[in-house]
This record gives sequence, C-alpha cells and structure tokens, in this order.
Amino acid sequence: MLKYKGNIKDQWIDFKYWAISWGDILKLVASNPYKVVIALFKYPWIYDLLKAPHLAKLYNEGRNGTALLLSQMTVNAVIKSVIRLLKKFVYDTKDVIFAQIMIPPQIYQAMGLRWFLPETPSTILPMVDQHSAERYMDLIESEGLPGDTCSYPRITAGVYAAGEMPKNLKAMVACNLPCEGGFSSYAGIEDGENIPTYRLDVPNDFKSKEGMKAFVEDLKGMIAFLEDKTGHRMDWDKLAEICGRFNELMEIELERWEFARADVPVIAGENIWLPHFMYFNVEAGTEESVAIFKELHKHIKAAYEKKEPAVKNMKFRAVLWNPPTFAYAHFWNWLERCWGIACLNDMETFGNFNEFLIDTSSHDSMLEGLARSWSNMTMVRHTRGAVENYLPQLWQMTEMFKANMIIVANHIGCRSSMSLSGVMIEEARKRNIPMCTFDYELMDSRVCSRQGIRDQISSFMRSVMKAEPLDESLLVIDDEADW
Amino acid sequence: MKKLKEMEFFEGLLDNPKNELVEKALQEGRIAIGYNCYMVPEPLLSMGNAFPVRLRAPGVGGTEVANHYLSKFICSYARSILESALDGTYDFLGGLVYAASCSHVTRCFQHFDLLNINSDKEGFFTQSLDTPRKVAEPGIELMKSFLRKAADKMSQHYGIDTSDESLRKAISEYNVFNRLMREISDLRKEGNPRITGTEFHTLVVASKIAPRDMLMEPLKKLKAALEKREPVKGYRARVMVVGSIFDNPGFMELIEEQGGLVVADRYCFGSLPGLEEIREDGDPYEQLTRHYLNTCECPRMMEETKSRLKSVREWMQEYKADGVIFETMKFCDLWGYEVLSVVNRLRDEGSPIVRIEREYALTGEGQLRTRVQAFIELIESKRLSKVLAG
Repeated sequence: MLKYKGNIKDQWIDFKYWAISWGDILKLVASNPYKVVIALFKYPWIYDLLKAPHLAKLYNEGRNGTALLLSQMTVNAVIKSVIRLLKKFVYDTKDVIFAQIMIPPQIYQAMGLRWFLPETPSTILPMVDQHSAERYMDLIESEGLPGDTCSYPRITAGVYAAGEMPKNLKAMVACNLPCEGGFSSYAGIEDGENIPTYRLDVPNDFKSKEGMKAFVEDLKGMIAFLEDKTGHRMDWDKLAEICGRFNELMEIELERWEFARADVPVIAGENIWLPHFMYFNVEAGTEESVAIFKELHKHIKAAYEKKEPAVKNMKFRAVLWNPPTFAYAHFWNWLERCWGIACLNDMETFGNFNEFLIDTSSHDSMLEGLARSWSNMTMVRHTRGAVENYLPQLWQMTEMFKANMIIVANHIGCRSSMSLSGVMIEEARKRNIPMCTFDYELMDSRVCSRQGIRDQISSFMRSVMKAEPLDESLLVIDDEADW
Repeated sequence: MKKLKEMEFFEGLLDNPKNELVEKALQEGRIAIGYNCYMVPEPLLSMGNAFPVRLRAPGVGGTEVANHYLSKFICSYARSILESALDGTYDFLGGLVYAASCSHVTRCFQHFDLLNINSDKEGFFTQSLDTPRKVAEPGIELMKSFLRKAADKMSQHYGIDTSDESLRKAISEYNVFNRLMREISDLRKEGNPRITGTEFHTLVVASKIAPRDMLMEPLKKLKAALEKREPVKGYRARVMVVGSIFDNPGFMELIEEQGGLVVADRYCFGSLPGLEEIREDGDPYEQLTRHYLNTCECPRMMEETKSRLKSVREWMQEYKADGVIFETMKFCDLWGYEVLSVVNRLRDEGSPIVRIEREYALTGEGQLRTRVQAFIELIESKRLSKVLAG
C-alpha cells in the first residue's frame, strides 16, 4: 500500500505516465489484435509484463519533482523498449534470430535483422513481480538443474523448457558472456531447436592485445555466419551511424555522472542504473535511446540549475557494487526513504569511458570498438579476466562520487564476484570505507526475501554507521505477497 | 582380490603433495610447476628440468580461511586448494601455470598473487592461460600465445630450454608414458578386468603429481604383475563415472565396495581424455593447443554438448559399462547445466544413470553408499527384466 501520495502536480505526473504506458500497451494490442492474442497464449509471460506500469509507482513512492519525473519517463521508455522487443516476434517469427543479450545488438541493427532476446522474460519478470518467474525456476530445477545456479540464466532455461519461446527461428547467436551459467543455458535451446548457432568466444583476458584481436576476428566470423544463414548483408555505413549514436549516448552519460557526483546530486538510484542498463545493453545505439537520454538530460540540467536534490533528506552518499536486486527492483526507494541513502552510481553503470567510445573510421575500428565496449559492459568485465578488472574500479567509483559508504549486493549465484569478497572486505577496511554487504539472490526473493535484504542493511546502518532510520515504520514492511 | 605390492608404491604417493618422488626431484635441483586443469598441457611443464604437479588438497577438512576469501558459495575444490596453499602445502612449487578454465578455479588461483602465496620464494612465478571455450582459429592463436608466455617465464626464471626441440622432446616422452598407461588402461575393457577402478585411478592421479620419468619403471613392474594377475571377481555391475573433479581413489573404493566395478573414468583426474598421443610434427606449441582444445571433454567447451553426449555413449560401449554415475560438485554451474543435456538424455534413452551431487572431500559416505547401492540394484533389476523378457 502506498504511504505517500505526493502533491497534485506529482499525482498528475503519476497519472500522466501511467496513462501513456497503458496507451502504449493498448496500441500494441490494437496494431494486430489477432496476433497479439495468439502471442499471449504462446508466451504467457507477456501477461506478467502488463504489471510494468505499476513499477513506476513502486520506484516513486514519496518522491516528487524531477526525481519523480525522470523515473516515470524512464519506466515509460522501458515499456516502449519492451514493446519494440515484443514486436520483433509476436507478429511473425519469419526471419527472426535468437540473440543472447550479451552480444552487441548494433550488429543486428546494421544488418537489418529482427531478433528475439531469450533473456527478455528473465530480465523483466522479476522486476515487475518478484514471484512471476518462480514457476520457470521451479520447472527447470525439477528437470535437474541445481537450484544454486544463478537465477538469471535459470529463468531463461526455464522459459525455454516451458515451451514459451518463439519456435522455428532462423539462427542463433550466443556467447560466453557474462558467465558460465549464461552460456550453458543456451545448450538446451541449441539442442532443442536444432538451430544453426554461432558461439562468440570472448577471451578471458580481453584486455590483452591478443585477446582483443581474437574477439574482433570472432565478431567477423559471427557476421559472416549471420550473412550466410539469414541472407542479410552487413551495412557498414549504417553500423557507423549506429556506433556514432552510441558514442553520443556515452557523452551524455558522462555528463549525467557529473550531475550525480555534485555536492547536491540531482540524479540517483534507478534513474542512473535503469536507463544505462536498457540503452547501453538491450537497445544500444538505437535512435530511441539517444532521444530518451536527451529528454531526460534536459530535465536533469534544469534540476541542477535549481539545485533540486534527487533524494530528500540525503544522509549518506553511497555507491552500489554488484548487480542491483531485480526481485526487489525498487529497493533504491527504500534506501532513500528509510535511511536517506542516495546511490550515486553502481557497478553495472560505471566504467572507463575511453573503453566505450567507438572509432567509426573503418570496419575494423568499429568492430574493435564494439568488442572493447562489450568487454566492459554490464556484468562482463567484473566476472572475467584479471582482478584488476573488478576491484580498482570500486575504489575509483567511491572516490569519484564522494561516497561515504559502499553497498555490496552479494548475489550468491555469482561465483566470480563472490570469490573476491574476502579481498574486497580487507581492502575496504584498509581504506577505512564502511562497506555494507548483504546476501541475496538476483532474481529469486525466496532465497533472501525483501525483508531479509532490508534487515541486513538496517542492521549495518545501526551498528556500523550509528544511524537512525528517517522513518521507523519502514524498517519492517509486509511486502512478501506484493508484486 | 589380492592387493599387489607394486601398487602400494603408487598409493603412497597420494597422501601428500610433496611425496617422495617430488622430494627426490627437488633434491636433484628440478623445478616443480603447479597446474590446475586438463587444459594446461603437461608436456609444456615438463621441458628441461621442470616437472608438472597438478594441485590437489588431500587431507583438507575445513576451509574456514578460504571461505572468507572465496565465499562459501563456490566449489569446494577451489576452496580446498586455497586453504591448502595458505597452509604452506605448496611452498615447494617453483611456479604456477593455471588455466582460466572456469570462474571458480580462476579466482582461486588469482589469490596466489593477491595473498602473496609463495611470493617470497626466489624465482616463483604465476601465469594464467587464456583457454578458449571453442575450437576456432582466433582462439587457437590466442591460447598458443599464452603457452609461449608460460614458457617464457619458465625460461626467464629458471633458464629452462623452451625451444621447439625441447618441447618436442617433452611431447615425445609424454607419448611414451601414455602408451604404457594405455596398455594398463585397456585391461579395464576385458570381460573380467585385471585391474579395479580404484587401482587405475590411483595410477592416473600419481601420474599427475609426480615426475613421470620416475614413474616409468614402477609402472612397467606393475604392468607385468597385472598381466599375471587373476581377473576381478564378484562385482555386480560395470559402471562408468562421469563428472567433475575426482582426485581421491576413496570415492572409487566406495563405489567398488558396493559391487560396482568402475571401468571408465570421464572426470578431471581421469583418463578419458588424458592418454591420447600428441602429434610430434609441426609447431609443437600449436600441436599442444589443438590437442588440448580438441580432446577436452569438460562442459567449459560451449559448442561440444552433443559431442560430449556422444563420447559418453561410445565409452559406455567400448568399456561395456552397464550404467553411468554422473557426479557434480556442488556450486559447479558447468556440470550443473550438463545434467540437462546428458543425464536427462541418457535416461530417456534407457541407459541406467544416477546423478550424485557431492563435495570435493569424501564426506557423507553413508548417503553416497546407499545411493550407489540402490543404483547397482537398479542395474541388476533391469538386467533381470531383460532376461525374463527373453
């Protein structure tokens, strides 16, 4: 139940974007009611996506002004993005390919391909409803997959095992990013569909000259495979245009970080993480991605000029390490309202911008730019290669955003990050940075409940930070039955 | 079955990583190079006066310190190795070459540098190998370059001759040793084998933790003794063990105590793969790279799921196995997913198969015993049903 309703203007913003989001959903249905209804039977998880407009409510309880507006705009943009993803296959699966989420989509865009991301349900379902993906996890566990594997690929494998993914697609491209669970989950799809598959093998030591060379060669192999299997050709001019847009996005992103690291941060929490996650990964390089970033940026700049804080009653500046809690997508809001914690950047968003900019002067330079940017993408550089890919950036980010605490979301299914936890704790102690570590499972709130997450953080805030909650009534919330 | 006195020598080598042959080699001024995975080519670490020692953690009970560094949620092999290394068990190593074969072991071995393990030892070096997850030219070039990096360190730190000739010689010696091992291994294919799975596993483990040249004579004597030996009697089923790391023959002993003779070993520290010959012509670094990529049966190779299933079927036939014990280490994602593609498929095809999740150390023996016993009874009842059905 919502405790804070906001003033009339805030309620209008709430209503406006709620209505726009539903309008977008209805437009999808109206565009071809027959095929959409058939798709709902074939892919029942689409029903759960209808809960997405509610996500904005959860993100924004108690918020007002620009922070509220940015979040509402972002959620609506994400809904539009998901609709675009759905449109690629609900009308027709002819000429559609399976494409793993960790491969640069700029390539398919430039080839004029339509693609289905098998991770679509696993990415979105737990965010809109913590329990909606449980049936898929249970199904695949009943088929023998151990329940301790990361829930992200587990859901993907479960959705496929349930027969709720498009059939008879033309080809599949998958890769070994970000982890072993990720690529292993594709063996079932490849086997079950008996589909021509290209596996991109990103070197572990991707920063080495030899590693980068191997990655670029492999990307060329993937393009040749797609050309062969789909009949679509790579349009290099179009790729240059898309990469150019990606660079533009990076420039805006860097400015966004400046606004987050200001003494009065005007952007925080999911307003930093969610647009980055969506438009640097899922819809990288699209016209829509640049348009929404520009639109958001206009409001961020205005808020900066007004010195309007992103978090009212900010008591602590924090950075988040490891992936955020998908099954508790709005936990940023609780951090803000209960403890006055503003999350000013996070592991998935932060990176060295030099590694993201793409040189569009030649075919090879574009492929190298894509290879470099994707080696440094969400969950990738942290789970692979040298320890230097993981830890130093945490201290760099802490310093850059003037954080006085680090929140570590210890996803117990992530082997690569968990296995550096001891060294990380010792290093934080040496640097005298308070580090709040909570254990959780990325997409399965049955392993660690939302209240379990809150209890771990609250305990740390009281015992280490010697803080008192801004609102005692938020320490325990009965939200286990909620979406 | 009567125990062979020739076997006792090999058994004695398994108790401590710094076994009598390792001690002897070190006294002779040889350099022990530690390694972690099938993907690290043994001949590479056998050049000049170097010899490879595959890391194990015999006798490690608790992993409290390693749990702090690696967390409790990664596989107990990785945790046990780190615990063991922190205790100083591997202070005799002159270097460490480890494959980035999976995230668990990669992070485990990165802790040698992070925690300065052996860093005070003169000459000690570490080198990771970027080992591809598919067999394709870009990856082959990459892995080759990493093999050369490891060789360069051996040369720089200890003056080891790492020329092509030196590597070719190491490959040739490796092949000679493997030929002898294969002759012993083939005894397992007989209708009534003259060697048990426990004994053969002891030999394979010994061959990975002691200088092979020092094992040649004892192995020849053992082979002669085995040839004169009476076949194994009284077993109830022939089984193949498939899965992740096993370096403790105690597991095989437990299976065999229940009447299941282990005739085929498709696990890390097993011989399928492991006894194939490496080509001695051409660029030896390239031959090593291609050999290890082509023969690897670990689910880390992401394009080979179907081929792994095929291999299991073929080995079952070749070794006349009645059923498969499929074991996975807790928290191992790679073998966990393999359950979906191998276990379920073989079960659907009617092959008797049991899946066991376990820890690195031999724990939960009672439960394991019961499951193996039940599995062997299942094989027997299937066999009986077939006979009754005519």
